[in-house]
Amino acid sequence: MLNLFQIKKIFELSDNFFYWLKIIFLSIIIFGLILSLVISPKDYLQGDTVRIMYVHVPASWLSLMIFSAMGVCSIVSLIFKIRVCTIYAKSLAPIGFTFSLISVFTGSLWGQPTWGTFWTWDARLTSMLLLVFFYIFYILTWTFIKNFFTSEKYSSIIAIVGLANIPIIKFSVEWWNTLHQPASIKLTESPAIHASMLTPLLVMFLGFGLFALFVFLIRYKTEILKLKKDKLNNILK
Amino acid sequence: MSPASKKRLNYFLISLIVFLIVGKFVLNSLQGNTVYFFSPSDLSKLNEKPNGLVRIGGLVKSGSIQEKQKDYIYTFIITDLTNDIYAEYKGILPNLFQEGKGAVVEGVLKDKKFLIAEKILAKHDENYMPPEVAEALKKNGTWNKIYGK
Amino acid sequence: MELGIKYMASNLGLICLSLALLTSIFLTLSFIKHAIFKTDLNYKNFYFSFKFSFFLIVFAFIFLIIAFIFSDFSILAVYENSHTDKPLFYKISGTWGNHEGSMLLFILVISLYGFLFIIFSKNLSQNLKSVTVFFQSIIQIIFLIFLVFTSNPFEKILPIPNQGLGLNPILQDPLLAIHPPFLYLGYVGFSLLFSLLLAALVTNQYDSSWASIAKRWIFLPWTFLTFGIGLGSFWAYYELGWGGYWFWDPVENASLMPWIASTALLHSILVMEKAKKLFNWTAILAILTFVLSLFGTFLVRSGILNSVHAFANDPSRGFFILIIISGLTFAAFVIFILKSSKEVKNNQSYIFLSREFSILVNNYLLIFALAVVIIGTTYPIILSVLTSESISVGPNYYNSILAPFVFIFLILMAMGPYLKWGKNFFISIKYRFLNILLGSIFITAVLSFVVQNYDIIFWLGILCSLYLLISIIYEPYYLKFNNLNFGRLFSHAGFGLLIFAITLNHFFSKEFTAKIPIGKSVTYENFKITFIKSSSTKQKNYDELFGYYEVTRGNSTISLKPSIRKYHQPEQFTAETSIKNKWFSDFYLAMDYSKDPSNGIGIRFYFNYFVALIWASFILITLGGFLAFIQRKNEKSI
Repeated sequence: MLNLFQIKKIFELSDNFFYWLKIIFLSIIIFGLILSLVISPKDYLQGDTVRIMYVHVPASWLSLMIFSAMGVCSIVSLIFKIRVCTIYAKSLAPIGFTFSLISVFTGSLWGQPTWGTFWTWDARLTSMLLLVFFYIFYILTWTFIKNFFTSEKYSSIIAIVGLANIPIIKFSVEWWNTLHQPASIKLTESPAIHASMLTPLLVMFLGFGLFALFVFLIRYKTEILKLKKDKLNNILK
Repeated sequence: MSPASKKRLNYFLISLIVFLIVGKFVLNSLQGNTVYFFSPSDLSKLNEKPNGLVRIGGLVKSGSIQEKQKDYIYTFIITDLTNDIYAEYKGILPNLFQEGKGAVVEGVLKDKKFLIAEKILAKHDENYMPPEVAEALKKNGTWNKIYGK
Repeated sequence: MELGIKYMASNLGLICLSLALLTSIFLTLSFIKHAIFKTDLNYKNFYFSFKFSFFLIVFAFIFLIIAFIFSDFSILAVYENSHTDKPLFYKISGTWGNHEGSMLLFILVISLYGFLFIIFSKNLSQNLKSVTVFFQSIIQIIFLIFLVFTSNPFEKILPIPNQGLGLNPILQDPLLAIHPPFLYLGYVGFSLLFSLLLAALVTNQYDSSWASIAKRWIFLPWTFLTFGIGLGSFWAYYELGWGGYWFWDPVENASLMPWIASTALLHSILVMEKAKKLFNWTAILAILTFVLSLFGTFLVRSGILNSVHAFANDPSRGFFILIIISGLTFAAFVIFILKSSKEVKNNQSYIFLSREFSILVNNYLLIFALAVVIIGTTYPIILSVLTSESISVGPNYYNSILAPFVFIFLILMAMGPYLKWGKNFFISIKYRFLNILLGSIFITAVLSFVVQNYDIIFWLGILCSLYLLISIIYEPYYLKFNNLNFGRLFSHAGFGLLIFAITLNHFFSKEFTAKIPIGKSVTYENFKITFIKSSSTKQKNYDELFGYYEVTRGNSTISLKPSIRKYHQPEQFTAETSIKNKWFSDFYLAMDYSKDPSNGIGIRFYFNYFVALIWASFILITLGGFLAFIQRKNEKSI
């Protein structure tokens, strides 16, 4: 699996591989959608709105994971000057950004019926919004700074700084809501989730993850082609 | 690993460690020295009584201030007009502290209804009402027009 | 006649403001045209139009003062904040005692610094100078727009009321009245440095010679800021009646944050000038200083400190300041990132025993202190925005975190100046450090034996501050009175003295409260406080209750006469403390209000040591900044 990411190997991947990846992804997603939309039970309190969870939670997980991966890649690329890591991070950014947007939008769709508001300046929501901004800044740095090395430096710094936000998002619910009234906002994924709900969630997560991988491979290939075009491909060695 | 990479790695690790230690230090100190604010209704909703210093804000219930003449020990009731908290304070009551007016009292809770006050805070705004108290009353729906806007 | 002036003033003021805005926009546009189409710019006219806008703002401010003096209640700001019964002095100071007027003062200071810059930098290249003025006028435009459209000081009210509302007694205090202008001259002054930095980055002149130009524009606002903070502390001591001089209140922290950042900046800019290092760091600090100044303004002006919800309900003020802050920060960092990358890589390695290294470490410590203050100030606000929890951060948080680092800081402050730029040899300086250290250990030991205090923090505080003070006293001999940098000597000595005084004050001050009936007395340790009599007077809008007390300590007796005022409209109490200074100690007495004084009145008695030294050290630091500002030219690198 690891040598899949080697620069030479990525071009050897035939369209056949992408074709099968697509097939697997689609079948898992369709299976997951059937599970989550039809088979899984209604929540005893929230009714059908709970089904938003099957999109919301995997998207949030993935957006956090992808940003963590970007942060780690940025650290490695800054310290060891392993440029492949920079390319990984750069190709991952728009995927994570999309997932974070999906997470925020589905979250507010979910919030409207359950809390009665689309948006509130709660610690979790705000830190998630901050993550979206970090993604935006990261992508903008690559867009606006033309020099590869300069934008590598600053985008990596942004990713590393943003890494500090990840634990804040993760634990915001535990750290700050302890004194909160019980009736108020609680966005945490319930640990005591029933198996009939957990299965579709995990299947959807797998589907989303495959999708992320699929897009990532395409983007990664494109980025390397771009570097070749700019005659910068020797930096990857 | 090239020497330059090694140097950068060292810089990174050292700064990470320093950052973590300092961050831990600051957070601990912050946690140890923050005082939470409650209104009497907030307190009544809690399952367990909070430990450490707390601030309780509300109105001093009319006719509730009693003085044990000898040791300057006062007892009074802090209310937000729905829930009451009994408080005991040893010392001189500041002039801002009057019956029927807003007050913020800092101290340790003995149980959920009883506060051993250590400090009476004299800070307040033009409406003669500490901002926290005003907000607690507004949240509670017992805010009255006579207190101002 | 008087009526005519009254109403004219408000109209003329608004006209002046609008003209100033138009002039600034005009000069900015003409500069942009010059920059884009490479047309010739008549520099004389360009500078003249900036000066013209400055005078317009001055006139607008004067008109506002006139409106306050003549109590023109057709203006909303005057109606809300003034009253015909106010003494003239407070009518004038009321001009900047409210949001609108203080924002006008804010703009006046921005403009003033631009004006001073034009006048005092005759030898500067036209390129750098004009771009700086351009950026300064952009900042001016942003704030003028903010002023005119969200908080117009000349806004009318109809029908015209007969009497104003504002007679807030707490605000009627001479120190409180004069200290905002000093604070503004301080932290708003960093706007010029900000413009100068952006100009240097844009014109690719950001190098060590820029540092020598920019230095004076740090020293000047820094001096004012220090003085302003000192005044604020002085006011808190005399007026608040709680016996302390610094409360770590968010309002105080708002002025402390830019002070710490600018202190770091004025050291790092020396490294940039002399050792040609820390270029990027200095630029970041310069941006940070100005941003923190704006942030301080935001904290104080938006009302977010009083109540987050009040702020959210009336977001016009705070929200716009927040947008301005983020816009300016973002723009500055974009310029910095785009331009600094072209800078030649300078040698960034450091020699352990060198002046630049000690400054670097001190800079880190300052940044740490800054982070501590920022966290302590903003955490409660952020928390109350994000959750409905309401907390407060106690002074103990700051004290316990900052104290250990202050000691390291002091040692570095003492050692740094003895080191040369570049490489030093430990052998050559070893004995000097050791002698001073032994000397200060000896004095500390004697002192702690005399006062019978063996607390480790006490020991360290006294030791480190004495170490700094002795180093500074020794330095002129060491340099044989050549090339003395009086600015640094004074301000460092001031800081050493400050920590010395704070340590002693912390460990020896006493406080106690009691309730004393008339004619009775109370004994506390070796103090005996007697309540002799009380008297009360009725003024126009307040009743004042005086107490006559005698404090006996040993065989000396001091009489104190505190009072308390009860205001009727709005009902409010203010304590007039009575403070008598004796040698290094203060007898400080504040009393409570009582309807029936014969029954006993509560008092708070504080016996404070070395508060006078704290004020002296503030003056020393200010003097140091001032000397650095004027002595700059004949200072040679040593």
